[in-house]
Amino acid sequence: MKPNKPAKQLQAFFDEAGRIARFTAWYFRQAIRPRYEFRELIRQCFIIGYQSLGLVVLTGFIMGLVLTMQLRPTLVDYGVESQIPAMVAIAVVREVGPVITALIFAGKIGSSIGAELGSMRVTEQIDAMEVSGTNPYKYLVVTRVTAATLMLPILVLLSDTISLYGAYLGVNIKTVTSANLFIWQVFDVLDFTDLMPAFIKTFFFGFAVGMIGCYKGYNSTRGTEGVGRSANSAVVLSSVMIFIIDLLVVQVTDIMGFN
Amino acid sequence: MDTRENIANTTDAVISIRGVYKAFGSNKVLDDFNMNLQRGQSKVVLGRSGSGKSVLIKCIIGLLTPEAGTINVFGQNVLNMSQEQLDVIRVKIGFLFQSNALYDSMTVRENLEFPMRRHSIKLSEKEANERVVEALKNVGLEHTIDMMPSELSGGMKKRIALARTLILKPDIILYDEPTTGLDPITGREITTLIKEIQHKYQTSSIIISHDMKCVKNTADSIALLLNGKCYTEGTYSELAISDDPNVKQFFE
Amino acid sequence: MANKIANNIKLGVFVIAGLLLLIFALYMIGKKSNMFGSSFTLRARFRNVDGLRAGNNVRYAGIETGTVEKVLILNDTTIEVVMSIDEKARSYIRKNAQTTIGNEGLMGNKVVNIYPNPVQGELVKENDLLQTVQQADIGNMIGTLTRTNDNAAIIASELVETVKRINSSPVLWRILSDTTLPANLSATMAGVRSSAEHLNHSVAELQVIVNDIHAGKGAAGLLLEDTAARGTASRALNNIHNVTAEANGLMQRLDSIASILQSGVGNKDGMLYGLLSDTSFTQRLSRSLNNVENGTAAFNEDMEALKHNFLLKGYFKKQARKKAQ
Repeated sequence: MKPNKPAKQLQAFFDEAGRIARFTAWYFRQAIRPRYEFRELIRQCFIIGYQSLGLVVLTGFIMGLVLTMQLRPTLVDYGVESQIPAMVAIAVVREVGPVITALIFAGKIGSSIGAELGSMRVTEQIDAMEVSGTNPYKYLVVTRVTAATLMLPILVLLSDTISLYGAYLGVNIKTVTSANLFIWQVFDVLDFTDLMPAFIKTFFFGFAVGMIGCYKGYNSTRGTEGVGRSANSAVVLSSVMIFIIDLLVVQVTDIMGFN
Repeated sequence: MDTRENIANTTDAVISIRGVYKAFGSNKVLDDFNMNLQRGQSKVVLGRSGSGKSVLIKCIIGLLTPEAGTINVFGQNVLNMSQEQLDVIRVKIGFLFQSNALYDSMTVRENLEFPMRRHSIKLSEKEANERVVEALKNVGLEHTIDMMPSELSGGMKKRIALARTLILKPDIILYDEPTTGLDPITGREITTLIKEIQHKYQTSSIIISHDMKCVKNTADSIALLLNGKCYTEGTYSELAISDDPNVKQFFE
Repeated sequence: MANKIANNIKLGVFVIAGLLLLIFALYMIGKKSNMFGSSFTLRARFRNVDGLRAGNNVRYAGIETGTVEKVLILNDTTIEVVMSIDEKARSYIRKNAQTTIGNEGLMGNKVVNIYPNPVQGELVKENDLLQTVQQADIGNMIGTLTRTNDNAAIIASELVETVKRINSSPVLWRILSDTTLPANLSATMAGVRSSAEHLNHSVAELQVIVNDIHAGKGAAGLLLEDTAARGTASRALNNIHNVTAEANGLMQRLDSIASILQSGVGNKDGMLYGLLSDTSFTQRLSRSLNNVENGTAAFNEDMEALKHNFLLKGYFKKQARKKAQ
């Protein structure tokens, strides 16, 4: 029995990976074919995108402010206090903004999608949809995944902006810098190779969060307990996925020479 | 349209199930199951929990696919149908889910409008509204039209779910344990409602239940599902006096 | 329904805000790398670019005017830097401008600096190759330092040799220990002091003569009155003669300087030519000339006005009549 256990776990892992892969492949097959659930997509964009704005703005602001205040002592030691805007801009735009926002997004949206679809599954709402002439995969999964993929990049852009505003206030706690100079310093250090890979990876983050949330919810079993588990594992798995994607993107951009 | 002609051409059996086999892993749920549903008939499928009654009606509507056998609805085999054909058949079959399956994120009105919209039934705003109101009147809950499902009690939810099932004016209604989880009084009300609907719309129905009061009031005929097979069939009074212990256990 | 429309509007605002931010960021970054303004290309060749890469800034006289587009290796000792320069700078950069590679700040990025040459040149054209000045790089500096060090070592050893020789030379030691030398020196100093007193006395005498002249006494009277002064005066005349000769020499020298100046202006390599052809200097000069001209014109006007003044009319008429005669 005992020597068998790791083998079984490994088998379960690959089984799960295969299911997720098939679920994802199904998304592309379903997304390109009519009918398009456009109205539901808009509704989901509103719920997933707009209604996450408050949370993302708050965390983004604090992130920028705290990053600035934490960096200051070291930079002052090196005598490069004037480089704070540049340092914060690079950190926020390249890494901290996308990843932190995506993690917040996974926490809020991944869990809510997981729980919503999970409860729809266990209370037969998904079956009811199918009986009512609706492809539930299209109506529920394609719309949510698409909405998450499209909305996260916008949230990240707004979060980056708010972070830099936080950083601007952070700089002005101890010294005085004009907004004009701050903006100039930020954009002086930024380049397309900073902005574009960071922007593009947020699409993958959004897709991963939406996909995993939907997968976990859609395949929820065993009643209300299963719903909770779906929500939980959706958050855990999509958070891990965000880091894995981040690593992959760094490797790919490095190989392509956008460093 | 041709389905209507098909009905005329075939016998009076609106649903005929032949040799259906369905298993989950090693658990054989349906094993060579045979059953007919006549036009206007109300048939109760009786069985123990987990004996595969729900699986049976989910196979009829195409939510589950059996490994073998045929299920003919209006003379057409559901198992060979494309998605489009299946959707056409589904307009004619109502399904009342055990857990009601009301959409949590929609109001009662939107819940009722959903099947009409999704089946691309061309109705004006006014006609659609009239249908919703009529369906709600049938179940006596017109005042709940703008409420959310979470604001309703269990019995009300069941009735709204029934109203939603009725909104497409189906020829066949499949009831999945309609009185389970309700208190006896509400259960009786639902049973009465089912009878009323059968008379009013002349629907054929399959009712999954182990609530004998409900079974007694609604059943024209009873099929007993045992070990994946249709063990026996008969009216309530016929089976009630049976000496077979397998039958008797349900009527005690 | 109204709620749904309101939600759609909120979503629209949200999405558009995000897209505008993206466009703004792209524009700001693009503007920095000269993506939107029109630009032209200049090239420069270096032996060593010190890690300069595409995207680094180009400065003309310290002002950011473009970016590095490409860094190409032409052969084993030549690196060509292709720069995209803002069109606005085209009318300032001249063909003989000099480029170097420098740093932005102490630890900053590399930057190409273009310095205007003090000698006037033609304006640049598309794809022109600019002159380069190899900046002192640390490797070269260390090389030079090593050579200097070696030299210092040689000098030091030779110095040691010299000191040894001095130490061992009896003649030098004898001179240094000779007691008559300080005495001679002090005598010489006394002589110098008395000479200085004489000189002071002569100057005072001269002062007296000059004062007398100021007081109006004629030089001839002085000569008759005081025979002692006769010698003095003849010495003075002699001096005047000398001064005149000297002045003549000075004039000749000035003449030759003027001719050198003239030839300097003619010579395009000369500093003077540069000074005169420095546009800003020339402009300043012509501005001054203008001012003078304006001043003269104003004076003429004033004169004219005076002529018409009735108080002075009589005087001017008289003048005119005199001229007529």
